[in-house]
Amino acid sequence: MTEKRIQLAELREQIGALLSHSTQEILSSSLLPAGIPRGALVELTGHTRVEWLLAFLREHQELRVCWLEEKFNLFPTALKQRGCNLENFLFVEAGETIFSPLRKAIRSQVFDIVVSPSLFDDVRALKTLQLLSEKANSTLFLLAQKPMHAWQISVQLECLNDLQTRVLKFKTRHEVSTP
Amino acid sequence: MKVRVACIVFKTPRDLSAFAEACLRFTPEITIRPEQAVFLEIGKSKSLYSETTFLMRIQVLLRRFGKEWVQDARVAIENDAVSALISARYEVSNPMEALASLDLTSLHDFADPFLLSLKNRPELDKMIKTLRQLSLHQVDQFLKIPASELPSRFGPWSLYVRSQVEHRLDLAWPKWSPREVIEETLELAHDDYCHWLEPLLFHCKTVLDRLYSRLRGRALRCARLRIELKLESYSTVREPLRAFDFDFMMPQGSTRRTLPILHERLERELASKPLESAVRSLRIEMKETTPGYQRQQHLFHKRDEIEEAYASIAAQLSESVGKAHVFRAVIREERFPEKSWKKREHDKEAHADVTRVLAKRPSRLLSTPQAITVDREKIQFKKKTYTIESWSCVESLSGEWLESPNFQAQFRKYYEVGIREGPPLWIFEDEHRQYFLHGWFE
Repeated sequence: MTEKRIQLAELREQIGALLSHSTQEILSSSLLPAGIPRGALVELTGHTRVEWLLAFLREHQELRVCWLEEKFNLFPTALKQRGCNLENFLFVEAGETIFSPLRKAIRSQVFDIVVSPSLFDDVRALKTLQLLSEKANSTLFLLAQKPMHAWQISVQLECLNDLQTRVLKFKTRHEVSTP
Repeated sequence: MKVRVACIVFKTPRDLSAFAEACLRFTPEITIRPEQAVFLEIGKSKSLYSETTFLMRIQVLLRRFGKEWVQDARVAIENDAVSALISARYEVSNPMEALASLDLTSLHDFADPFLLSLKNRPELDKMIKTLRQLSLHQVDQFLKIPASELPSRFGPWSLYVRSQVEHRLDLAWPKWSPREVIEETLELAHDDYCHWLEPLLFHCKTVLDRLYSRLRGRALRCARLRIELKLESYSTVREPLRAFDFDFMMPQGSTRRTLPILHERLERELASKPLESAVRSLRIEMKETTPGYQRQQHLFHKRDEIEEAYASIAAQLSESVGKAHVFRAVIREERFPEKSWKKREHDKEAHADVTRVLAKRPSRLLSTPQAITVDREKIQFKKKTYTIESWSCVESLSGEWLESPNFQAQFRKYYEVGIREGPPLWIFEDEHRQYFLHGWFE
């Protein structure tokens, strides 16, 4: 009986070790050595955030992207010029009610990348998006004018000129790193 | 056997497929001029009925379709399709003798009675406009122009039009056959009590399962769908028939992917206008189908499942925000930036090559260029001032002279302007030396 208890305890330890060391998938990028985690919220700020994102998407042509805008003023010709695969892009002009279609897009588990303007101040909304992204293993890029103080956002990057990146926050599921 | 063609022309455009299907009782040789006329070859049926009997029976048939059909229709019988169309449309007894009374616009009917080829219409319109400028307004005046002079003045198509007016060449009739209807109906018992969304969707699933099984058997997918609900017709019920039309952004191939789309719409519709009584019968019709998958399902890759899921979410998003607001883009070969892309309509559209041909384009583009004021160091836009730090080389674009009313080309000189306050702007100077903001490099 004691032997069985010891075996059970060892087994529990091993399972616990496995769970704590489970890795989050990372999308590699030449712009960011640590890569971009999947199933996370990533906030991009800075004047060249869209250019940065396009450079990242050029390196991952196979990813399916859903790009939501309140009022669509993205220039698809520029996306094609930057080397993005437009066949995998779905554009949505959502108007003021962007949260509902954004939630649908993430929940469908069809898109690897979802892009949206950062319009959500409500903690519950961000929490919903974070949980949905995690479940769908989709990365949600939020394009913002200024960085937001929200724990739900795993990675915050400031995009500088010439595609330089300043990491404001980088957190994976089991580590927190803030320079 | 002598050919005799009857033409029934309608003044207002309408869907003629049901009427043409009803005309199958007279002859199997039927064709349609879309939304305008039905042609029947009745020469071979003269032993079954005379032309007088035919005219009376057509009137009876039109009355069955409605009073407006009777008032709107004109019938004529001639020896060929073109003559029958002209007689019916312009109400002349003998088209060859009535050329003096026929306006030049009737040349469209002579040239293309079945509306098969729209690409030559602009050329013919141009010819008619030129003839009018020469004070020619009737068809007989057009015939007076020597045939040898027509090609050099109006192009080769004008010679064909003239030969059609004079000789009425036999034209092959485009094939028409009645549309096959793929539908399923479910009669509900009184105790089913289908009055709300959830039981309604439950019954829709049953019907959709059958329909999609039929479609799958033919390797088809559904592009358009119609749901009709017949309600219990109590005296308080003002609308005993409720119909919902679905036009999917991408064709759907399974019940599992279609139900969320139906749920989205029906929830919205029934919230604003609930059902007045229980549903007694549910009918779902596949209005339009497209070719589906004929290949076997891939055992090791969920390719088809992923494609179906993609089509489903695209359709759901288009139900949610509007069909015009969900799209994929295709790049076109146009000089001016606002025309260099469009919303994709077909899967087979290919992108134009823009990487080597065009200079760098901004990531954001305004749909309408905004007027700005520029001096040496500052840009003024919407009461804000931006400090200029750099100017790029000029990129000159010109074109659109054919589309402009005065045949004058538009000129634009584009610059990428670096500013202190934000991302570089993309501005242009037009031929009037006015500056406009067109985009920015975000």
